[in-house]
Amino acid sequence: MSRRLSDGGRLIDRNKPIRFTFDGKRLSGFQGDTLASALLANGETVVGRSFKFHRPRGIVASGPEEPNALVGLGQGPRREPNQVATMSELFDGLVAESQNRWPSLKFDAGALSDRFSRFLPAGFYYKTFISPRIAWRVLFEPAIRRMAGLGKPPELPDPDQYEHFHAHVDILVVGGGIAGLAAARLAAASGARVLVLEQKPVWGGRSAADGVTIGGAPATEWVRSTVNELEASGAALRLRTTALGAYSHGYVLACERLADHKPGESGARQRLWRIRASKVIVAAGAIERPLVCPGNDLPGVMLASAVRDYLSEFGVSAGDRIAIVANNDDAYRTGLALADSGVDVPAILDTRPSAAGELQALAREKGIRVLESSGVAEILGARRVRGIAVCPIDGRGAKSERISCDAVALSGGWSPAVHLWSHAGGKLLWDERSVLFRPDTNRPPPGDDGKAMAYSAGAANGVLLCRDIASDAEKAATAALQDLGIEPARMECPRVESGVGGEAATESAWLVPGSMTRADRSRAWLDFQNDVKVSDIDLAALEGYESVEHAKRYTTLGMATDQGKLSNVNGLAVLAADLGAEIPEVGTTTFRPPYVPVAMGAIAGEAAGELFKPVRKTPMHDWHERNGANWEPVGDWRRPYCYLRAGEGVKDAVNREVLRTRRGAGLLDASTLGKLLVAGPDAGRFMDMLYTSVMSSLPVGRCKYGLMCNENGFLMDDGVVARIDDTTFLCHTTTGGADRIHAWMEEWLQTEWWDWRAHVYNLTEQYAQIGVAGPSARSLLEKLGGMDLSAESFPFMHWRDGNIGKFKVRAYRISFSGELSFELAVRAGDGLELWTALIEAGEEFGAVAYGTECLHVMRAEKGFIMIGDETDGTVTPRDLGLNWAISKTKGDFIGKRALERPYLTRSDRWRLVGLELPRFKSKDALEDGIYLFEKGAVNAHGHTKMIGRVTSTYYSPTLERPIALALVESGPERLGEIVCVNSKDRGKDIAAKIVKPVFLDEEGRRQNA
Amino acid sequence: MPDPVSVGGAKAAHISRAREDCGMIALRFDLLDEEAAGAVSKLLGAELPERGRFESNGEAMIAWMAPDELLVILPFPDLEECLASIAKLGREALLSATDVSDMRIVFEVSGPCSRDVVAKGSPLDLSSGAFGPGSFRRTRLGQVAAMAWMPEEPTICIACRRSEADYVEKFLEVGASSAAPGFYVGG
Repeated sequence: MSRRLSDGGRLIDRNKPIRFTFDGKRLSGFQGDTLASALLANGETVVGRSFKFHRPRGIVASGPEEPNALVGLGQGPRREPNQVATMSELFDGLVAESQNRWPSLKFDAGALSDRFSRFLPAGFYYKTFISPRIAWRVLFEPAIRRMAGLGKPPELPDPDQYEHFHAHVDILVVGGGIAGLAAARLAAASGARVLVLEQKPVWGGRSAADGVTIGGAPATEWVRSTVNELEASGAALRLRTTALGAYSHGYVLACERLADHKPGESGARQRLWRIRASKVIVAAGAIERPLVCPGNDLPGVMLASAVRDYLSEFGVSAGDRIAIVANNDDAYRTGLALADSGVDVPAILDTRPSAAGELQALAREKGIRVLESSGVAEILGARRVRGIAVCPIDGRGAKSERISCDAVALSGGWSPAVHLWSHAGGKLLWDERSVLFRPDTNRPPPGDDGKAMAYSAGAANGVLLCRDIASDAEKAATAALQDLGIEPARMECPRVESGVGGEAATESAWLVPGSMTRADRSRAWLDFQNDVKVSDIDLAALEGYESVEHAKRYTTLGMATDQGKLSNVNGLAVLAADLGAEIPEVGTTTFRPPYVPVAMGAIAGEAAGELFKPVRKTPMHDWHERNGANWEPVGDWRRPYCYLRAGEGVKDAVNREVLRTRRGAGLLDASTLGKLLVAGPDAGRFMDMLYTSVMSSLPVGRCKYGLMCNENGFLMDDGVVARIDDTTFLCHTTTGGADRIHAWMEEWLQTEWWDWRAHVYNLTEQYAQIGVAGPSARSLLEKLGGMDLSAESFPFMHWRDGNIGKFKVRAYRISFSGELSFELAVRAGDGLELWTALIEAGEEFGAVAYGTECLHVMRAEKGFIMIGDETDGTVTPRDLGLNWAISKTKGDFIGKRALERPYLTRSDRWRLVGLELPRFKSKDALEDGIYLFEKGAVNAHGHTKMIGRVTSTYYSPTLERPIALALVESGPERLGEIVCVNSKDRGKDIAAKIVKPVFLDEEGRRQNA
Repeated sequence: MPDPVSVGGAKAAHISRAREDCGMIALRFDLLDEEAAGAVSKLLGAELPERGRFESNGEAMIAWMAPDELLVILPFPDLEECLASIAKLGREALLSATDVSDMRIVFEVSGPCSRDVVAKGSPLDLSSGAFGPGSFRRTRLGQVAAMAWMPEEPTICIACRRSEADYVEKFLEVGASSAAPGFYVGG
């Protein structure tokens, strides 16, 4: 059984015990433990269940590659699923729960599926789609959904804070082992701005566990002094920070775990680093591969390096008797370390024919049996390891001997962590000698200058022997510095030694035993988390999924949360053998970010709660808020839909606002409307191209309503244009159109008419704009005094600069309500003051503040179109009866040619009309968007023939009946005809009479008053 | 001088809303037009700024906004006079001078961690070698457009749209209230 040894453990502090619970069981560990090391120390060998067959799973690894030990961590709102125990630091009060088991980890009902595993082969999921078809919906989908999945998603809002941080550096070093530190040291000494990231809470990588010396002293000393040196030189160093992805232009994302190990601490829990690095040095180390043998998924089977890590770093032994199976020399170090700690190592099974190197001699000296050309026929045990059956490596697994043990350390060689290198486009080479994919330094991820963006160093570069690591890292740093134009400093390369003179080469052993029987192939695991076995890859190859990408998706190999860090290379080697191809021909699947799963909270960063989305506020926003505004989002703005008074419903408020405005006066906050200044000697020419009508001839001091089409002749925006002076126009746009039309104008100016001397400036926010409408509008303003507002000196569609009271305003006599109306633009800083002055002055006239719905009702009563209601990107000005606004004399304007296409000039297009409707008892409007038809008329398919649709529909309190605008086939030619609308609200067809699209004051007496 | 109004018990930096008493003028003309550039420079009594910089004549600050745009920031009482004298330069070379004083709100982020606080929302390179006194950038803060400049070490001014000022204020406040990453401290 795994247990804590009486001494050892570099990272733990035995004087600081820490209490935690696992599945409700009270356990204890030490300061410095990971959750994984503490679980092992407590003899917890089964920590979870696999995804598909619910087989018991134990801890396999000691780093982020861990596929099995995923737990739910924390409680209440802080409970987070799928946390990797090997990367979770232990803290007092930690609460962990195993996942994917029911009712308990010991007995799992879902494990029955294991018995039927031969009925759940690779791709069974896809096959359930096919036949019988009904089975998917009623049988397979519900069953699979219940069985599959790991942790439960949290149900409460995340109480923690997250943040982003943008950093720029010359050289980013990923990995704080010997390679990373050596590269960073040279880069920093050469004057580069350096940032070093290490995913674990300590520097030095594997150097301590591997017993490496540097300059004759333990590696930890060199690590400590180098970190101090780097800090002193101004380099930035970050522990607990995992690089997630490398992207074009040296953009790298990394997640720093600030408070995962001290939950509830104030400040951000995690920080997402958004790094722009001129060069990236990937020194992310390498990940050990398990061997693929029957029974290799039993709890108690671990990576040889992980067994060594737990021993050296945490003083934990993975078992009492640990057998080792390996195809390389490095695993012998695990045997030696275990023997030194007094743990029984019954045998090291070496798959290679000759094991006669220095490490083997040392092992034999310690009394460890070394068996050459040997493999395991089977790892024995049901819920945990009981022993191994030895067999010759060649052959089908004839058992020669049984060795009892309670843990097995496997080593199938190492895979460089090439993920970041590959994310940004770096290519890989198959290194037959070291049996690994390594970065092809001749084909690095390219930067924008065509030179390398990333450099690979140390084990991540396939350089596995420690004596070569520092020099390889300095080589990478030198190349990066030189490509940056920085002269590399001259430094002495640290002398790194492993304690042995040489190591024999790793030899591939993809399957153990080499000629595995068919039965064994379905018990030899490749992907522990997703339950993918050798037999599954065989089936995929047999069924034609020959591409590694297809085989991956068909079998789900490498698709679990660990993204195949342990399984991919073994899987593709099996696929290659199945296909009779070479490994490099099969190749790897694509490496995609993130390197490890990342919390959604970290991705969102600050964008939560109040900062989720910026809300744009006008200068009068707070007044609206205080006065009952019922908010409506308009673009990114909030505008009052109406102002609710005590006891009032929304409909009542809208009706009140309409009637009070029509009878007295109303005030509208129109500040959100776009205000684009077009200026320059060529401004008139530019305006004539943008708008469908002639704007260049508009006299100074006058306003004109204008339409803008896109190149296809469809209406995209409208608004009033004011001629400010000879070379200046002010264009009002819709609220939502302000930024879009600004960009539209810029695009034409920058790409097509770059030589025209005109420019556009978005002045939307410079002014607060207040609409004063209604029969008393003039009296209301005259009460404040300051400028002549008489109809004679200030007629409709004119503008004037002047004063209203003490305020300097630009007043426009324009109307969107059909009433006598002035719009006052005042500098935004004065907006609230002018607004409150007008509200006060308006009291005696019964003036009200009115919202957007009142505005819409009033404009619909007048038949004024609304962009986005009457238009939807397929409607032309002519469809809306706005022919008068399309110039027939201009040589060109945007959309002119398109508007002449036959399809857009057809008379049977759906065109704007009004609908006269019966009064509904409920004083309601007709539903929006519904279709019109003629009673009994059918189309070519025998369906009811639709002849139009309702685009705007309101209850008009002025007319005391519902009104609607509609687009109807040949509409204006059918005035007086009766058509039908199907009103779902009323459950029946309603007869509507087609009328002109104006319901009130057709002559315009009110607005011209 | 703007009178800073404190808006939060900031730890990593002090955030204040500069009083709304500065005038701003957007000048649009081809900055490569030497004649126009010379006339503007003479009128404002300052060199015209290089890209990414601002210049100052003691009273007014002139910032580089785009290849055809400068922003003049000056005391509000001087605004009208300045606009009038620019108008005299004539329209041929100078496309427009527009009063834009009210469309932006300016925040000051001060204290030794100012760079770290701004870098939580802005993708700018804020290291002292890339961004120091005299630097002026158009950038983003969180989800909105912003301008950033450094009047003097270590104060950073952030200007944003008036309508988005509450968002920016809250963003800076939140950023200043948790520990600074310590990346840019000391430049």
